[in-house]
Amino acid sequence: MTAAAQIQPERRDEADRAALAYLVVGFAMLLVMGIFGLVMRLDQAGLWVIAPDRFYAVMTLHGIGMVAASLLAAMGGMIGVLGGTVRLDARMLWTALVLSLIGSGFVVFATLVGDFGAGWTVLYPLPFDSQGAWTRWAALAALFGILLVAVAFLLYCLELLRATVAHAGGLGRALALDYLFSFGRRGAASVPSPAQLVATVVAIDGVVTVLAGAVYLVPQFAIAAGLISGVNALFAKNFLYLFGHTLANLTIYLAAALVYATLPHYTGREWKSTWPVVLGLNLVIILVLLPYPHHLYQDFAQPIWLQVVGQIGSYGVAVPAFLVTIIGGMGQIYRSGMRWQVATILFAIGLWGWTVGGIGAVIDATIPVNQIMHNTLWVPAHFHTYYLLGALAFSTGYMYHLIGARSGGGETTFSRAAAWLYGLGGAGFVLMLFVSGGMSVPRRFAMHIAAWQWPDKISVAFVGVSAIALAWLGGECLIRLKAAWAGQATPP
Amino acid sequence: MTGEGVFAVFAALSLVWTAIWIWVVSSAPRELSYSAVAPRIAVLRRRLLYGLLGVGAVALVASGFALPYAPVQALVGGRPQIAVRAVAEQWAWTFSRNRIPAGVPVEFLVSSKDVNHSFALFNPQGALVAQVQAMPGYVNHLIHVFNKPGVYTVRCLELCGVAHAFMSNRLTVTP
Repeated sequence: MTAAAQIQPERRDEADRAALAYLVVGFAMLLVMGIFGLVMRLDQAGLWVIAPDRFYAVMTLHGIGMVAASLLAAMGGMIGVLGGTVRLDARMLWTALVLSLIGSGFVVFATLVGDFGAGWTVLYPLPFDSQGAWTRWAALAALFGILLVAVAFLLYCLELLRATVAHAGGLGRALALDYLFSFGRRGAASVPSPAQLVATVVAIDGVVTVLAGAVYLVPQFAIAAGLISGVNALFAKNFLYLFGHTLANLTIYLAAALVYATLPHYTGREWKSTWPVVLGLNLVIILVLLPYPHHLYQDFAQPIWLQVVGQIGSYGVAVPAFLVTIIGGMGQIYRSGMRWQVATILFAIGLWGWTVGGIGAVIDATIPVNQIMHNTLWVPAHFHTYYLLGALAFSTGYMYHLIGARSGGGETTFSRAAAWLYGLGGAGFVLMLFVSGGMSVPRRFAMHIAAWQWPDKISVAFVGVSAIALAWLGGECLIRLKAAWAGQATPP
Repeated sequence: MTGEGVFAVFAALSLVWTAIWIWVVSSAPRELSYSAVAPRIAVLRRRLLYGLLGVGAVALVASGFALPYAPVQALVGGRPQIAVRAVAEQWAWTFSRNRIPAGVPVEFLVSSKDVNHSFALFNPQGALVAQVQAMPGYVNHLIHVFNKPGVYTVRCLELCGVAHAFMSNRLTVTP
């Protein structure tokens, strides 16, 4: 009996619906948060100037909201691709979704009502030392919101881990360790699919990441309650970035798994868990935790050996990502004979964007280069590239695929044009950020001097193109959503 | 090294990657059996692995000689001859001196009275030439040699509150 024949349609249907809920909510949040991003760019371009306190509140909401939204969309996609093959507890998934939304609500309240503007980093001690720009209650609301989003991700990761381990018959099997350490001579028949491997890897790292977040966040509440007077700023910063950086990275790994599982439907080529793939994904468990010190290169009090670990980790984590996902994806596409459709266009854009963002990231992760690029617009340039044109492209491509498959809806020439335009607009937008980074324009400045504004102005036009394209694709998905919800389970 | 130079390297690598990507994407309609493609992918992966490890190792060693940390800078550029205290607070910089001679190693002792800030030196042309964080509870040591005289701007590059973008001061580098 084949694996496909073992899948129960009702289990896949349940998974598809949970996936749809995550994807649609995540996508809707992304569109709204994108509007806040546009407001920031309009301000910096001098086209629609807002007060600095509003700018930083909007910036904070945009940053936290985008991470939460991208994470939700990627989490949903993973639920969908695991489908009926791995039995996930629907109650746990829905609980995590609701918790994440409540957490996001707290952040919206803290920023738009409470003017909280300490950025997504909520870098201690700024949340409690705003010089009157926001209240302690606004800071607590934001921190509590982040905590809820983190707890939601923890629940999701624990459920993912439980399910993949139960499915494989043990953690070692879920990671294909026997196959790995026998150099492929044993256990080939029971090696999990690449998406299942990613699920286990992300779940393990997700738990570690949230624990790091707790080490950062819990003392903040203790300070607010007057239980402790403060924490060491360098200690806090290490755990903050171990939490925040790794969480953002895990989003991309989750989203990449959607490509492993879905692109073969279009190319007709199986994406196998070959030995290099198993090795690469197992290495990610460690490698993804190592690069975070590159956020602290300019903290000269940090031990130098830890800075060097950050550089090695930043270089190292790029290797499996490039060799497994990017080369694997390019191998899927190369002379496959497939027709370009919306999902595959978005996957291809994602492969391009993850690589270009990675080039920018690896360059900036070189300590002497970081000296002149850190906290310039180079930083948002690289992470917008592999978020907007990597993770979001993968998740949106999968959402379009899933809704299309369940609703039976087709796509038009306009749909495909919108997908390409999304990539074109996104590429222009991030290129202008890279140009600004090359010009040493600082990031997180509510006001730009005239000499910095020409790339800002050009980027606004590109954001417009990308937003229109995304809205078109989102609109198509919305029209088909009811049919997709009621529709048939997707084929394996 | 300047930001423009970094951008040039990035642009060159990205253009090469984009050309490869376009080549692969445009090949999609012409079908070739995967059994013919897969072995080529395996060889490509192996070669790229060796290539990436080699480039990474060279970059790691080379960057080791240019680390911005005080012990390395003191070895490479000589011991600092002038010390300048730079104290950050929301939203101003205070320096123990504002005039510095060009061509000699200067040690900045950077600290913060309140939240995290970043001491970032911009040359007269507006390019960022060096930076270090100003952290509460720490004194960070940045050694820098000003090669060109002129008026340098010190900006804060770490988000420190609503007037973050306006937190700046000037240093004059004399010939």
